[in-house]
Amino acid sequence: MRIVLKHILRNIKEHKIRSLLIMVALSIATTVLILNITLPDEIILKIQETLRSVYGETDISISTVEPFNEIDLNLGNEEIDTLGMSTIQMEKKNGDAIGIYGFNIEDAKNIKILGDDVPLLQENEVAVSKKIADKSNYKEGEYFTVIYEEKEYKLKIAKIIENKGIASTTIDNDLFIANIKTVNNIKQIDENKYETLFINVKDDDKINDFKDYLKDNNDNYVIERLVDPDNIREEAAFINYIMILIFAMATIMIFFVISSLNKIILAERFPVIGTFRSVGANKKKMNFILVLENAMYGLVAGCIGSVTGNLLNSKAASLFINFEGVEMTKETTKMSPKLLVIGIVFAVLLQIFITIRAIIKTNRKPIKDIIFNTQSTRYKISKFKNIFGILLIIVAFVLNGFNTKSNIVLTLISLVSFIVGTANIVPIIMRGITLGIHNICKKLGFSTCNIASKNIGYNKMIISSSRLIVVAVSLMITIITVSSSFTNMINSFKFVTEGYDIIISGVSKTADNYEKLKKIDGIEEIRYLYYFADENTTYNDGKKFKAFPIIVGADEDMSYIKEYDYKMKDLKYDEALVDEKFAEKNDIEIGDTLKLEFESNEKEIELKIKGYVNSTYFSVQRDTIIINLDNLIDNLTDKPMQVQLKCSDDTDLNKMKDKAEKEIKEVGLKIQTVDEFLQAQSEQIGSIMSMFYVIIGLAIALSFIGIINNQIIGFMQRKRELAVLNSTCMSKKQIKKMLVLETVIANFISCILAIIGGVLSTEIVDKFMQGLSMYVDIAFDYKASFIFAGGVFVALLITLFVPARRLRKMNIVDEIKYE
Amino acid sequence: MSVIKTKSISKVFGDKKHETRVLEDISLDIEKGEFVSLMGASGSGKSTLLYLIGGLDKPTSGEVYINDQDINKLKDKKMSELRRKNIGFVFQFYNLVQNLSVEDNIMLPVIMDGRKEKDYKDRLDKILKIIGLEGKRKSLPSELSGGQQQRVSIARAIILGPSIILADEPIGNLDSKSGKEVMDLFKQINKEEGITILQVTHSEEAAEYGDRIIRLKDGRLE
Repeated sequence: MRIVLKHILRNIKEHKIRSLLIMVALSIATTVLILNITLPDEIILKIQETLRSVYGETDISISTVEPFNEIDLNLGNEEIDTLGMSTIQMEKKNGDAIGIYGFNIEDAKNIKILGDDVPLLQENEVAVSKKIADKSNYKEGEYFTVIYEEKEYKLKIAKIIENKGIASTTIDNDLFIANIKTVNNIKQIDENKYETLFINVKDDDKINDFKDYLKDNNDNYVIERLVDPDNIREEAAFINYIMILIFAMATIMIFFVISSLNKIILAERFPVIGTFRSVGANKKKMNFILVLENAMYGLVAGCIGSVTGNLLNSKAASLFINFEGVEMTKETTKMSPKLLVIGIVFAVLLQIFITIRAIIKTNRKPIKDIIFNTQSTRYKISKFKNIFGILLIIVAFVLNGFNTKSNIVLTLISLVSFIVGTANIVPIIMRGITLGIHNICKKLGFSTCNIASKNIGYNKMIISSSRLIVVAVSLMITIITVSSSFTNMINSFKFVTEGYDIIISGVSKTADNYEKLKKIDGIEEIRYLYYFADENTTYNDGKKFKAFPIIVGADEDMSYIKEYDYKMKDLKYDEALVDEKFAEKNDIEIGDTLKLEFESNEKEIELKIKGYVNSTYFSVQRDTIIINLDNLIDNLTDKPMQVQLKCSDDTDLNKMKDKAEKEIKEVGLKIQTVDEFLQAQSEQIGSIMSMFYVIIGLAIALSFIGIINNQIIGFMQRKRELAVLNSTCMSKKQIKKMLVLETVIANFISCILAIIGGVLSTEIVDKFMQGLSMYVDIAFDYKASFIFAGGVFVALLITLFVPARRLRKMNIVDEIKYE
Repeated sequence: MSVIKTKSISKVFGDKKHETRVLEDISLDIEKGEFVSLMGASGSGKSTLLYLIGGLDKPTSGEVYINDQDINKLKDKKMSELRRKNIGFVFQFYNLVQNLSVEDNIMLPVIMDGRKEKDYKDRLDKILKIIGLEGKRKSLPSELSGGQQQRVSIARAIILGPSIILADEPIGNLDSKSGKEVMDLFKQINKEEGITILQVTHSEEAAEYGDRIIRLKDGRLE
């Protein structure tokens, strides 16, 4: 055993690059696996901790427009701490809007909603975070005047405080912290009243029950759980699906890369295996030795991959989370020994799974063939593989067809079946095409091309490289399709803003408050978008929707929502149109009556379904119900969700934003040009896509290395053949030309097959996107795919340097002689 | 007329400190149509001499003439052309291209010389008849016995009608029956086609097929 282990370790050491490549490939697969396991928890932790850093120990908020006090509420007997917050929006003398949050400072510090450095602020004293002070150039001790309901107040900046707690949040307007007395004095209300009450429930297990109790016993208040793990977990599910897709794709690619690298390792071990066998080692023992060697790769790579996965999960999580105006927590999940074990076991098993067949096959060969290294380079077409491949492709499409509910697991099975099926039929397709080329060249008398094209379909290593190219490039084209689908999604936002230039969101007042914007020179038109969503919407006595709907109010046709027979402008007060996909998911039909119940405002509305719409340009999830606008304003919300401004052609949009901000003077508003709005959407998607590209890019780089390796092993195995050709009929130049032609023809066909594979996989990608509740236009991006495949084709020509260099150095006599 | 002529050729392997002199001052003439056997113990340099004559390797000193042409002055392209047209090689381990069928292997020199395959159809049929593998023309090398594979490599060596065949231990890997068949084939080709044959062999029996035997000992002619 000692000798065996010594031999294995020496093998790994002697073939550093190949061993390293296998370990890098396995490490990538393990890293992605660990990310799959840890990322949802990491995201949940990040969201929780970030929210905690803002809200401190508070668990629930109770709010309403009219100031209230604890005695107005029924708080039951639960053991709790409470903190009231009174807020005010005002403007400075120069017209800039500001916001002030007023607390009992001592209590706020105790409950950690404010940092320890906030002083006990006296009347008309405020504190401001360092972040805002730096941005707006505030100094400690400075006075500034604010106007509220036409009265002036002079406030002193008592201290510039750390960016902690609620003070760390950034809104478009400057935010100050003050004693609640200061705020209530300005508002001229009782000093013990406030609009928001924060509650810390002592027993964390009782938070949800207490929230339900509050809801049941306190009408007309908005009661929310501030850090709700269940909601966060639901949000993390989307990321989970993306990670599973990345894992599936990376593992498939790595499977093909390692199995190709394994061939070169086995080829190098051939004489050693023969020697072991000739001195008495049986096949089982040799299988064991080779499996043990592969297990070593898995062991090392499993450790590296597990640690890397843990190191990367914090960075990866931040790609998926976007807290506007809040600094993300640096807290991260701890690496557990269990994960390390999972990583190692996965890497070891994956490596053994990939290599075991080739190992057993190698050891079945006669000892003489092994010792003399006379293994055949000829690729034998396997009927079984062809049938299996075709069956897998059929299974992929049949499964995809039956997957009407866009089940993500079925989609992944379809994708894997399609890729593996394609890989299995690549050899027969290659042989068919190259034999065609061979016959044409034969007729035309192109001697070198004639030999080269025949070699392609029959050479193991060329076929193996082609398979790698087809899998890697078609997967990458699939990613391009996913990426362009996301781009389509971003583009669909354009339809909602079409014809308008500025978008105002975060609106908290009714539409008549924004009519004054019309006075601004340059604003031609204002449009209000009314919609309402409640995560806990139920229907017909507590039934839950597959996904909660967005209720859109309409009193006219909307260009971004496609209507069919029944028009939106014709909707009567109690009538509704539903998106056809939403209807399909929830078994809703025309003529049905839906009684919608909303938890957040405890309202109910009854609707008759009159027809269907396609709302993909409004919401890619397509969970949309269109109702009469009056019904929405009367019962759900009288405030628009978005205000859109149309400006005259020569307007400077940035200046117009400032003008609009000064005119409205509302804290919490977000005013963006349409371009800024679209840019922000695309940045969010871009960060998710970048993760796709990094991981798949790494796998593609490995495939590229795998192809170079195939070139090396192909050359090693063909050295004698090439020497014979050189000694009997071909010059080295002719051989070089033959090798170039083999590479060019094989890679060209492979890239074309990969594009075809990419086109066919579009159907499956469509289902995947639907599984993520994204009904976007899946359009195969021919231009990008051809450019990518063309780039790969050119890059692969570089691999020709391997045989060219080795051919120049080849000693014909050494290769021909056996002795 | 000499078709093969060597003038004082020597071959040294290794560097100056650790040099091994494999061949020393070898001069020989082989006439057109001769069947010559080159014999010697293992390590006597007979295969090395054969490869030097075939232009697969270069001597350290001395000259090799094939049909009065100094082959060591030829560039790769010309050398390859000379080998294709004037020399046919037969190796101990046949060295056929495994991916190609019997007829494709035989026709390789024709294809690579840029000639039309159809012009050689009759010659291919004739050669296949001579080597007795008419029924195996579509078979792959791996589907043939050792003797059959060696006959294919002989067919490949003569397809373009070379003036010389250089054979390195052509029956070294065959059983006695197959070996005899191959040697009979060589004799037949030598007589019927008038091709000069230089074979390297260990076997006295095989050497007897030649008109003349040249013996090498420690890199020198005996």
